[in-house]
Amino acid sequence: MNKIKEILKKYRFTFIIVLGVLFVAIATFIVFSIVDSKRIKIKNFNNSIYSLQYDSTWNLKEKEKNYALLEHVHGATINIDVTSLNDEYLYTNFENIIDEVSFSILQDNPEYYLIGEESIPVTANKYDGYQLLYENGENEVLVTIFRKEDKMVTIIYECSYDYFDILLDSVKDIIYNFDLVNAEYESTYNIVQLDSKPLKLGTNKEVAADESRNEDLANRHYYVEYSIPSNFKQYDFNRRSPVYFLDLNGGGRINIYANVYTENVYEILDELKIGSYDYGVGKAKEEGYLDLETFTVVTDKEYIYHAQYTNPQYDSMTDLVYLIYHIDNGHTFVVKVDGYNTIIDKSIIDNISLVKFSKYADDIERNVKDGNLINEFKYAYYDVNNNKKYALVTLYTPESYAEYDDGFSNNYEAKKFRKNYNEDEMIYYKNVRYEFVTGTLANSIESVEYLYDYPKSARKYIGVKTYNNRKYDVYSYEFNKNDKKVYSYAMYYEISDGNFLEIVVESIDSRIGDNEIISLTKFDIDVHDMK
Amino acid sequence: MKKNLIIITVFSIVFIYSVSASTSTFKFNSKNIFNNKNKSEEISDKFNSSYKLEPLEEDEQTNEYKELVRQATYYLLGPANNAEESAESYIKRKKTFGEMRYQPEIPTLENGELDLNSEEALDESFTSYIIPNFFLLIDNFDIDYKQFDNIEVAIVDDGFIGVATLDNIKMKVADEEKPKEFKTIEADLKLYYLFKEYKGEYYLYYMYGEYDNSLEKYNEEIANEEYSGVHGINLYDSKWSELYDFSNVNKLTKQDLQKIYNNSKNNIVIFNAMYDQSSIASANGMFINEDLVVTTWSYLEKALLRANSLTVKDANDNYLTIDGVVTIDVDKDLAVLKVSGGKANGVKFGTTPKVEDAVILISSKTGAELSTNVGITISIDNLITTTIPTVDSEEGAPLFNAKGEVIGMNNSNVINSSISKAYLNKYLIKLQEKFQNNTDVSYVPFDELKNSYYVKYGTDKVVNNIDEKVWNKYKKIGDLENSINAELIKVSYEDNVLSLRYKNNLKQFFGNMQLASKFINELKNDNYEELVNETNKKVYTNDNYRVTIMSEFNYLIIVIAGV
Repeated sequence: MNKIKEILKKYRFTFIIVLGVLFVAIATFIVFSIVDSKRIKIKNFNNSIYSLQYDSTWNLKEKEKNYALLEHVHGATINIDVTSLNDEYLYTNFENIIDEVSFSILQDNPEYYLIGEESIPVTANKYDGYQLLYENGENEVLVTIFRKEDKMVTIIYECSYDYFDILLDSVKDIIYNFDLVNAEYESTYNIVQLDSKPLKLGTNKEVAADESRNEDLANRHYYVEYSIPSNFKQYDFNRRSPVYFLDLNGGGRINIYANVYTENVYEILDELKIGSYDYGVGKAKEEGYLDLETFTVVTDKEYIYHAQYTNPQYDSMTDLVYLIYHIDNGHTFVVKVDGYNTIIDKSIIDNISLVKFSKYADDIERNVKDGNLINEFKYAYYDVNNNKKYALVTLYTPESYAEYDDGFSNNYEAKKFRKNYNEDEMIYYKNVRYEFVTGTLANSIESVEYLYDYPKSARKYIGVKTYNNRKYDVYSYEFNKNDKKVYSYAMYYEISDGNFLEIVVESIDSRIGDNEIISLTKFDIDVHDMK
Repeated sequence: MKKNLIIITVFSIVFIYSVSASTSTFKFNSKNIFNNKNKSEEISDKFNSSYKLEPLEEDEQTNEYKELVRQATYYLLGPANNAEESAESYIKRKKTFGEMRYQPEIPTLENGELDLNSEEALDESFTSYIIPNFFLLIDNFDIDYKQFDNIEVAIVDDGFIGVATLDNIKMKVADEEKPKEFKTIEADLKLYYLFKEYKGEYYLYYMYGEYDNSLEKYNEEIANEEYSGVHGINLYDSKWSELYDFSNVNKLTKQDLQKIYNNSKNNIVIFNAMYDQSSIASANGMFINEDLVVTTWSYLEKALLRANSLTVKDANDNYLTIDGVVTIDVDKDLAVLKVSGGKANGVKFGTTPKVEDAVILISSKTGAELSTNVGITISIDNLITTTIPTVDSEEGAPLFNAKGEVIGMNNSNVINSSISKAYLNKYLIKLQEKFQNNTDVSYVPFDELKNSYYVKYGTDKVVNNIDEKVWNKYKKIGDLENSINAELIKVSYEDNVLSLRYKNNLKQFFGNMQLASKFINELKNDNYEELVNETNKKVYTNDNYRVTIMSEFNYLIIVIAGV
């Protein structure tokens, strides 16, 4: 005992401090508990039919599969009822359902009378709904009804006059946050299940890449930036579906193809699986010389397909990798790496990645200067000496025009503009298209007729005309189409032998004046050597 | 003893509180609602039993067709409410939608090659273009819908037409101002499907959608003509001309149509269901003899349910007297009313038309005047489906053939669509026969029927007593006592929360929130911070109070709580 006293005496300050700290802690806890119990909390309840959110002033007294009852501390109630509609009402007008509900309410509640009714959007999803307000001299009842798919929901809030309006905001929040779980139809189609295996590639020091560079392409409404190994050269200046290559000293070659496809990632994987996506693989499968095939699921948005085959007919070996990137449900970015008589070094695949992508429309800026839209576009070609060149054109189109993307041409190699949209007829009355073409004028003009559906018989060669100090070979068209008169000029400005800038100006129901042509043939052109 | 008394008192208080706290007096049983056949039976019993028609012939089972339309719409649009859809789910529904396509087996020629000129080959080629492309087209719109609304079907020769309505969808369309960009618009989408039967199953043969407001414009133009007293003759240019032959319509001359109108206008009436002196729903009807008018039961019920009174007038703007309701047939959607003061002699009925026959609907889109609308029949089963777009106020209107005979009565099953439906005239003919020599028909006055079954409206109980001390405490907030000029019908003060409900007696002129505009300005002047600013709810707060302003029905509700 003395020992205890001694200890207490010796450590009395420590005990006092500890007790003090404990007291403060307990007091703080009690205060927090009281404050916390008074703080209104948000509670959730979900089942397979509905989801419900309410604040803690309400008590969820009953929570059945199709029914919930909330009670407020002040005696108010909210009954939520989910009813499956029978065949008669499943496909009918919502109004018929409301009629039935209000008729039933009146039959069951003769002492209540209706004082208000209105159509309202219900819940955060703004379903078409209806609300009815009844009273009986003591209580008020708000009935909210909405239909979603094969279910009808009735939410009945009943409260005495004292609290009805006071609690209304809280009730409205409960209704706003209420939702039914989405009904979905089972699809009959099953996608092929992939057996994912790690990607195993060999090593080949001759083609190994130690760094990457960024490239871009634009096709099918998408602009995509991606990386490829730096040691690959670009095959041509195609910015829609570019190809890169690396030649080996011993005769082998590796090609990299990049493109955007309007196919879903699973469509491509399915086709790869059954051998219909890649001709070489399909043939190898069919003739039995496919040596290796693996699928690697990197993420749910990135897949790698690897195949190897040795074609006995040509005594050639192919090592093949597809990198498949999900862009959206209807677009996929695919990089194909094709090693002919060489294996693909792992570093090549490591240096390929999807950097970023955006919808083409998102990537366009409307750059206006001095009343003109400023746009650049490029074209690669071989000049008379077979040197690779590219032309950089800066267009100055009147700002009354707007650029558009038809989803088929590459915005780097063709530019299209239009104006005077008629909403009723859903047509544009003016169109102009700039595109580079290679070949003979005869072939080019036939392509225009095919592309624009111009009758050959309407073609008239005007001759050589000069606009903005440049000479053009000019053809004109004048014909009737769908009760409209079409006037068009197809004009060719030659950059070098066999390489033309083609400008097609089209006007509906009005002739094209010289001034208009002059305003549409304003551009600068710079020719560069291609690296 | 004293102790016992205390215990009893405490128990009584607890009991009373618990009972009063949880007892709900309002009765609602969802299970009864849709199984409740008593309603129609009870009402039908009010009328002379000898006026009853024979039971309805069994309708063809169309719900399985509606289910197919619903499924096709789901596979086409994906999950509702812009739900994030995985690539896997997308491709599954795309492929499943593709599997719904009509793909008949192509017959082979004697040499074993496929007969590419056969009807099957042409159909296969047609659907292989239409159906996948429609999926891709719809896909580009990025449609965000809330739910499927009405689905209607009409049986045609070798399949059925389905119409799915999706109201207030959001979709991305090219921006006319900036064609490279997309803009999101709100629209009502109608999807039309033609399913064809093949080996006992139904497959998708053709489909198209309407999201622009061309239908709305068409209906509006006719409505404007009606209001201005011009009797227009109207044909809606729909895509059905790609599938059906409209040449019978083109054979009709303006003179033919004018003659049909002149001969029948005295037999056609316009109903208006009135509430608070304004029309809340209109419809048409036709005289089957000198004083009996037939319209749809669904319209009459709407009037009984929502209106204070029902008016009827003829094409010459003469208001007639409704003596009462003679009989109704809920299953056949018919109501016969006795109307006096008209100059009618009863319509002449014709025989059931054939598909692609020209039809003429004389009806009113406005409840004001009549207009003439022409189209063709595209299906005849228990109903006639036509290519005449209608709005709901055209139910009960007579559908004529090219000879000017009534072949059906328009209903409101498919409204705001490029097709509409009419009941065949077979029951109307029976009604005409039944009442042919019956000069002294019995009827139930409209008001009596309404009072027996549809009495519902009451007036607000006014509970606006407020303690003066409380009022003095709150009346300065936003200058409450002066800033709101409306009838205060409910006041409550509980737990330091004041609620005030004002009635907006001029809702047709002012929105509820407009009543609070001065009050809101005063709050702002007093440096209240705006927390919520929605159409029907606004919340302001300062260090002392939180003011919630709500618009519900024709009320402005203000709740002021201490912070």
